[in-house]
Amino acid sequence: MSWAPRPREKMAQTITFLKCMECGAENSRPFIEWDYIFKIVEGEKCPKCGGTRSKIVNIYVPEKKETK
Amino acid sequence: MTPDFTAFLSPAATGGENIISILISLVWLLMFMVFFLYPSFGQRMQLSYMLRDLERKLNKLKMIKDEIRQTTIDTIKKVGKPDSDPAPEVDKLSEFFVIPPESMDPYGIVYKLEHILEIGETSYENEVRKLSPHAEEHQVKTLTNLVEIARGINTLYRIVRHYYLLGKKTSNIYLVLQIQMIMPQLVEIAEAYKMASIAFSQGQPIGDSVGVLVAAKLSDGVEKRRYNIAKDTMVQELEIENRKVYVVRAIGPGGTVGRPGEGVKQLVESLPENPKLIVTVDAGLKLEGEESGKIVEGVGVAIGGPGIDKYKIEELARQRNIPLYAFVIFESIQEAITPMKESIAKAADVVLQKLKKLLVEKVEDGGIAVVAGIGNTVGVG
Repeated sequence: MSWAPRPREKMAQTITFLKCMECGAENSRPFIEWDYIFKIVEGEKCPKCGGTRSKIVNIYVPEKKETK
Repeated sequence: MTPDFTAFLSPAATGGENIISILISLVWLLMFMVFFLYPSFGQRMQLSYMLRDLERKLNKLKMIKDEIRQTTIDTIKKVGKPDSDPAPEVDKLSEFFVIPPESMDPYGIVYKLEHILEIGETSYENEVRKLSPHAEEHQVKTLTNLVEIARGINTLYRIVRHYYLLGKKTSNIYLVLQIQMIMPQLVEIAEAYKMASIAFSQGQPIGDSVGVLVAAKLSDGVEKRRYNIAKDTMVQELEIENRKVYVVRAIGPGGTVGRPGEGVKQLVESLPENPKLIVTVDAGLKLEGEESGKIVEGVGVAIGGPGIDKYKIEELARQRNIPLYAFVIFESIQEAITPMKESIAKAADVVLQKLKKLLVEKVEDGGIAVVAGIGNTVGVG
């Protein structure tokens, strides 16, 4: 008798939070391999001012908010 | 024919007996004889059921072990770009061992243990470095942690398999019962190892990084000077409201815990005057039912591990009469080794504010304080 594998819970996506070094705006995107907190990222445009230098300020897995 | 057959089945027609009732009676008699003449039959049945259950869970552990092994090999190939297949070396490193010092005479055991662990860590890291010639230094540190996870799950699997086979060989129900009772927790730990292997294969910060994260956030943007103090450990000098603060933490973003105990010891011994306090920030294990990210303050040295770093800071603080304060952020053992969750990351910001308030309250103007961020620095620069 073969046991069918249980459907696995999908691993939650880690999010990287960046702060633009020019205008200070914060934005987020999915984690890219070897991102680290306080890394200076070049080449990713700030959605507010278009600046290309950002600093990663946080990396974590967002928690689902329970809806009442 | 049919009337004969129904007559044969019907008790009234055959005087109270029929083949089915005879068969049922015989089965009952057989079962009664078995339980009467073979009293341990019930226990055997239970043992057999427990062994089957244990075998299923053991197979699950094996699957997780193989998955982690494959993740490790694939990451080494991708990041380290070795010249040959790293699989045999990874298998060899999964069996690596460190023998702790003899504790019959405990005098001096802390330094003996430190010496053995240092040799173990250095040689393990060098083996991983040889496997990954094209990896950057911080990636080598993270890959070392990844291979250690493969070693950890391999050890867990081997121990469970040992008890399973021993219980099967000796038909010892009590032995099998003991391992079966803790299997759900062991499988949970194995699942956490699997998620940890994914975190380390990508260089993601884990729950245990929270202590280092607090220390890094404290010095972000206000650092005056930084220098290495011990292996994989650095000091960042800063000033907070006219108080001189020395932050000791592991050097990221590679996965390492550094030597915070040795770092604090060397730092304090080099200072012109004693610091007014030493604060440690670390993740701590929560009890079931407690919230992850809960922050508690206390006294003492919040450092896990074998105890060497904790011993050094305690000894130093006692000799120089320096108060010890600690902040602990609660999380489960799974959360400590898996990608950092939102509640824990947000707790780091709260601890940061409490830490600044403590430094201003307990250290007078012009005074010195030492803050040690404890944890694995993977994903924290």
